[in-house]
Amino acid sequence: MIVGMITGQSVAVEADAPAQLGATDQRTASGRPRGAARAASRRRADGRGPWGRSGPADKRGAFGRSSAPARSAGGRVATGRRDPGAGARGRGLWRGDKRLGASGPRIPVTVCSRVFAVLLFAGLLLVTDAVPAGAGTPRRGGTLTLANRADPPAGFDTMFTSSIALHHVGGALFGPGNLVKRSRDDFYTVAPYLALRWEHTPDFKEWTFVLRSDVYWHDGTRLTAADVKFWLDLVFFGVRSGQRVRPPAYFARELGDAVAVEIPDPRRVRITFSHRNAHFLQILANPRFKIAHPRHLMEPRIEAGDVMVSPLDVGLVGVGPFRIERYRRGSLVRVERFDRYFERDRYGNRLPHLNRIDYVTMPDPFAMDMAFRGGRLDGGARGQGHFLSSERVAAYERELGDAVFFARSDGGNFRLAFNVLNEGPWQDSRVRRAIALWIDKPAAIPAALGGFGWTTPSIGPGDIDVPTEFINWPRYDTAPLEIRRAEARRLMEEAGYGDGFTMGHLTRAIMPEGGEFLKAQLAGLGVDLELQIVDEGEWNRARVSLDYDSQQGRLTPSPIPEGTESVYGRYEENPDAYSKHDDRTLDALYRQLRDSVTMEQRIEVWRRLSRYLFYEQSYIVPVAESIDVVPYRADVRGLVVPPEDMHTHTDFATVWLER
Amino acid sequence: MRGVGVGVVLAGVVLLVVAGGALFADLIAPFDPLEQAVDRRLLPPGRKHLFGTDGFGRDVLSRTLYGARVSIAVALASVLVAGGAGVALGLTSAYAGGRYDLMVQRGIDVLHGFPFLVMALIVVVALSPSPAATAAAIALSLLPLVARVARGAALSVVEEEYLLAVRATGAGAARTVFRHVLPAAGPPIAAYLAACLGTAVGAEATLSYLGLGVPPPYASWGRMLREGSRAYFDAAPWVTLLPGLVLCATVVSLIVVGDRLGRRRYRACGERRPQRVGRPRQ
Repeated sequence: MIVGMITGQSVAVEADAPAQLGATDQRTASGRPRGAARAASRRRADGRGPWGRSGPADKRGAFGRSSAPARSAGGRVATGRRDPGAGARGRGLWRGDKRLGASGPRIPVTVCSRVFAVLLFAGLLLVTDAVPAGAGTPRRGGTLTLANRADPPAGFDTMFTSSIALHHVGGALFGPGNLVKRSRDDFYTVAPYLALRWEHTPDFKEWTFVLRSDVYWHDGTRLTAADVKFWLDLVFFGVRSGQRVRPPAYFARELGDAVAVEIPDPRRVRITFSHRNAHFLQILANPRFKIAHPRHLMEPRIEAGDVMVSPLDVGLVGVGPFRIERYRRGSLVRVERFDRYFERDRYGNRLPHLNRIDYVTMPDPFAMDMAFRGGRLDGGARGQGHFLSSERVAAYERELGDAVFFARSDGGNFRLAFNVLNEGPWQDSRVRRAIALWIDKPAAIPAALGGFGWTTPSIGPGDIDVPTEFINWPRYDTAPLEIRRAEARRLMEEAGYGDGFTMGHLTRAIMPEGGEFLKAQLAGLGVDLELQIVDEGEWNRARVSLDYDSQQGRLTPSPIPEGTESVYGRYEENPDAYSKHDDRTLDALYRQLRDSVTMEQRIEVWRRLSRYLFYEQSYIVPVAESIDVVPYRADVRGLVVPPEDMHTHTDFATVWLER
Repeated sequence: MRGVGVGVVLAGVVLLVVAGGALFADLIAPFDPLEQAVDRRLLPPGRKHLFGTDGFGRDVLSRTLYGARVSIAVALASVLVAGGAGVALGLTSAYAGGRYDLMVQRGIDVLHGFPFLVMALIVVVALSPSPAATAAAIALSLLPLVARVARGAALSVVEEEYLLAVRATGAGAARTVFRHVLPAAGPPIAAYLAACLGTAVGAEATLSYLGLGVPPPYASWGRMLREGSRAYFDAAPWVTLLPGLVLCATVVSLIVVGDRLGRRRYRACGERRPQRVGRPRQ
């Protein structure tokens, strides 16, 4: 198997037939000059942590980030990394080795029986210590109950929404990837999923994937190359039937300019691009790009004219480790183990381990906290507003002690983005730059990000070897805040807005703190931010519209620079872009990025691109990178937590319960 | 103070303090209620910040004072609207009788059939969250109650003989209702409206707590309770408890004063107030 890096020659890659975790995920082809896995290990070796960002404290701002796993307010917080003994403990996360909940039978209260009871109890303890109480082999069975932030939107269609409310559930139903996935052992390594192996032409214009033969849809139909071609056609080209049009997937442009998808033989799929697409594999390994579209069920509907048929319309049939058992709109998604799922764990056991997962819809984080602390949930919801703040973590710990652990992951970028397609002062780049200079970014971490976060000017691309001093904020604006603010005032005067102006600001009702923070910040510059506080439904509508002047939120882009075009690119190409602009310079820069072959080229282009985007034009003002914290009960084992992007590893296939 | 209980005096003092605080918040609030200072976040009550600070480092006392403005203004507006419309409906309904009375009563039944929160949701969502929308929602839910009380009070008056005399002098319906029926039926209505003020303050807090009241970052008591209880209750209980205490004291005081007013009015009319229904004394 090969991942990531590019040698400029035709490369054939292969993985072991059974997709055993760990073994296949981490091997890389020999002779590779630089690969993501190698870069990751190099970063680990030079002490900068797995994602190469743990620079000196003075470069990390007041709330600088370190790679230590436990950094919450006195709390144990698990990151995506494992301790060396994790394998022996059944793929569990690092969280100490304390045993929980040992209980014995009720002992009769007499003198003799007390002595006997003590001996018996000691014996039981020895036995439970010797035989795996969750320490070794994963246990099969049980029901995991998780909170889900909202009802999955868009008919569970992964082509039209990246909502975490869908993807938290979607991983179990549709699997952790598509043809490829992000490795469970190393997030920055691409691993095979539905494809066994792949190859590309030396010019990177043609990519061919060889599919596994043991993948079944949940209704028992075998997955074929025709199914994958159907999915790729929908992604790249959409469908037209008479006057009805199904647009391509929102991420189509990110994947490249495909011109054809062919099936050379029943197990192969070939994708041809018009331009070089050197990083296609890494872009494709985005966990949002799930195959939720069974050809044998959807094609007849589309041919009948129902081009917008959704996965929900055809019964939520996927290829993931769990299949749908019950869906009650607005309250519950229940999935049960799919016995013909093809993945196995490192011990050769079939995945998944759990019998069932219940996703209980809980739009209110407070209700989730109460339910978790009351013992009704095994895990929290993923998503902004539901991720825990430092105060909530402290409350969980006080109440639950060792019975809870916290999965921590680098989250989305909290940023202010402008809609420059709407008329207003913010169309002037000097005004946008002034706003960027004015905001006290480290202050956002306690005020708007719940106390967990770090400042960054960028997306923090995970597997690109960007020097730490480039990533950490402030780098573009190294002057003290007072000097930056004086410059901001000068720019506002120069632009003719010295007296300030009013700007609409789209804010999600579930997390108004960000809007409140920015409003208070910008008041000093004379910018009156009019908060338009909207619920999730309205947010999902408005964010893809031009009905606002600016917006703020925490969205997670792809961990690689090439995968960010759909969020930083033009509105015309993706209505869900953070900033609404029509700047074709960014098209050209992304084209250059896609054409770059060596890491040095990628870094150089990415620097130019991010400087143009965040500094010269300031279409987007990155404020801070959040750290997402999700609570889980201590007896939830085998959970794989990605170091960034909570959309990843939502399949829960490796999870088991120590009960 | 003869004849006035200690409780009523205390309630009056509380209301005076709260109303004074709300009126003169600009002068007496120690900080700008919207000013954030993350280095001062979640400070416990102390000399500088008497009520402590919230998650943004904002002064809780200042926000409580400014929040009183919103709560009291919304409560007054909603009671005025509900009182005006409800009294007019109730009196005319009692005076006219017949089909008009029947139609008004069925309309009131329909309004009354909507639970308060459902009604409030509909109104606030239709008008988008704002103090005006909150006041409208509360007024709409109080209106049927006020109309019922007004009609009941008027029914006991419309059969009085002096009204026959009024009519005999050629007075029109409007004059009869508002010059002769209203003053006679007024005391119980006024007492009820006074009690409604407390209900309205509580309702405003409820709606704000649910996120349907004044939008952030502006302060209102309900919103402060929401922010404090959901995010910081374990870490900083004062963010919730102190505004909560002020809210509770205000509502109780309004009810106590309203009750007292009602008794006084009954006495002024020479009527004996009905005894409270309860367990008979042994």
